[in-house]
Amino acid sequence: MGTGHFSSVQMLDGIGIVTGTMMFYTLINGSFYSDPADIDPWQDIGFYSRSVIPRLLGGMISALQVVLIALVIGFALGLLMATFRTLSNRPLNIVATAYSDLFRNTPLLVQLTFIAFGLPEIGFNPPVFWDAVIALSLNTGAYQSEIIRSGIQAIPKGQMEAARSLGMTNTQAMRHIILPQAVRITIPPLANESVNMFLNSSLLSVIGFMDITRVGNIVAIQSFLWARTFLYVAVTYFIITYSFTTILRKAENKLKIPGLGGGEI
Amino acid sequence: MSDKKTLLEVHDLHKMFPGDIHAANGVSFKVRDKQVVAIVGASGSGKSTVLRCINQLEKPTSGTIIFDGEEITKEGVDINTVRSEIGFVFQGFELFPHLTVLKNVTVALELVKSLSAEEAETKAKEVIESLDLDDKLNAYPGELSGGQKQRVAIARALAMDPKLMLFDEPTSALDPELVGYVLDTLRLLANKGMTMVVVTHQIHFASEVADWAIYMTEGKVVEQGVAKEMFKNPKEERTKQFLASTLKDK
Repeated sequence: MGTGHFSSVQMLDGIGIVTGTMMFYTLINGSFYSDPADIDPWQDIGFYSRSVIPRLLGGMISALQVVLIALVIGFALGLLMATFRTLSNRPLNIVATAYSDLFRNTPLLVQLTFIAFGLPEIGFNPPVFWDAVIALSLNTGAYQSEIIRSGIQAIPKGQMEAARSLGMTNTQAMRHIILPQAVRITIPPLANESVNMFLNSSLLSVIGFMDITRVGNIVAIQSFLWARTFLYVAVTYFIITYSFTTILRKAENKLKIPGLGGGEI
Repeated sequence: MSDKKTLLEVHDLHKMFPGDIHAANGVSFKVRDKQVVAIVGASGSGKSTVLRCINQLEKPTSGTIIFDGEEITKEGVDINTVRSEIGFVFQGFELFPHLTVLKNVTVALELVKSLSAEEAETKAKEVIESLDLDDKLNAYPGELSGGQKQRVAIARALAMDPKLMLFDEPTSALDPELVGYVLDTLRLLANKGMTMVVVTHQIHFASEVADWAIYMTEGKVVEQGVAKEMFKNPKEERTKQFLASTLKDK
């Protein structure tokens, strides 16, 4: 199993290098080094853009897929763990605290490496896409649980009392009264965490996942145009992140409930 | 009055808080059907604690509470059912800020009383209209004045068709000009025959509306009696002092 995993990584690497090389040789007819009069096609900005941008966008889409799935799983996990931490049930409390402490006190890069390259040793070896999803979900889940927990604790005690005084059970009060408010006031920090997660997804390149950073790396190695390539990469990250926060800010203002969550977003 | 059945009986209620605070120290009283009972006393005298012990937002340290013939302080009592029959109105309103006025009222009808969405809405609208808030149905609590918020809180409790309503200083968080607005609502309820226990600083209101009055200090009942008599001619020296100082301020 373990070797299969490594070979899939190598295969991805291989595909990049082989396609790159093939393209390179096809385009310059193998004459680049032999004839100094020839122009390096990578230097042609039109050629560069046409061949590189689609590959970068492909990498971006892969990264977005992983991050979006991870954010949804992480949110569910965060909600569950945050609820565990506010309960008086001790074992659940310990589980939730241990989880959150473990993943917030170790680097994401280490977590990624452990899951992608360490777990295959004990027979757990999903495709690299799912390695990426699992690692990012667990990581963001830990941060989101902290954010949601602080949101729950920011809801005044009287809200729980009012709900209970009407005869609601603790679970009903939590689900219909406390959590909806807690989640609303945590939208800005959760958005922040989402952006962080997206930017940190560039680390996925290390486990062989073909995200935009990895595509950028391969392109740069082929073309030797590091500055231009990584400028493209950075601009792509920026456009996505910036539009996300702008849209969110607008949506937030539109969905704002008077008297809830303040106006500081 | 004494021929009416006893709806609530609090017997020898004690509540200790950490740090040796004896917030309720052997409190006993009865509330008969359709009676309005006012609990007065200085801040920190334990009146709110007593009220909160009745629906067990605070768990009594010892003592018994009998509500509608059932001892609700016993082990194994379904407190959620008991609470659904006892309305509680908070000093700070505690409306649910993420829900509209209508939803604030329907949420417990659906979850606790298991009414359908339509039934809950019909019931809620009826109660909200009876308190003159029909134009605020779709407003959020953040858009209401303090007086309106407290009326919505009363509507939310009333919609559950409680047998007893508890009011914990319902006007203390209000601007002075809004106090009358909420007291009118309490008067309306009293006239309709709602059984109520009201913790209040409004002595004039208490002597006008309440049938029975209880004066507490340091967790103990100093004096209780027919409201009009007690406020006019208190027997205990401490009650006299308290009433004199309270009425002077107003």
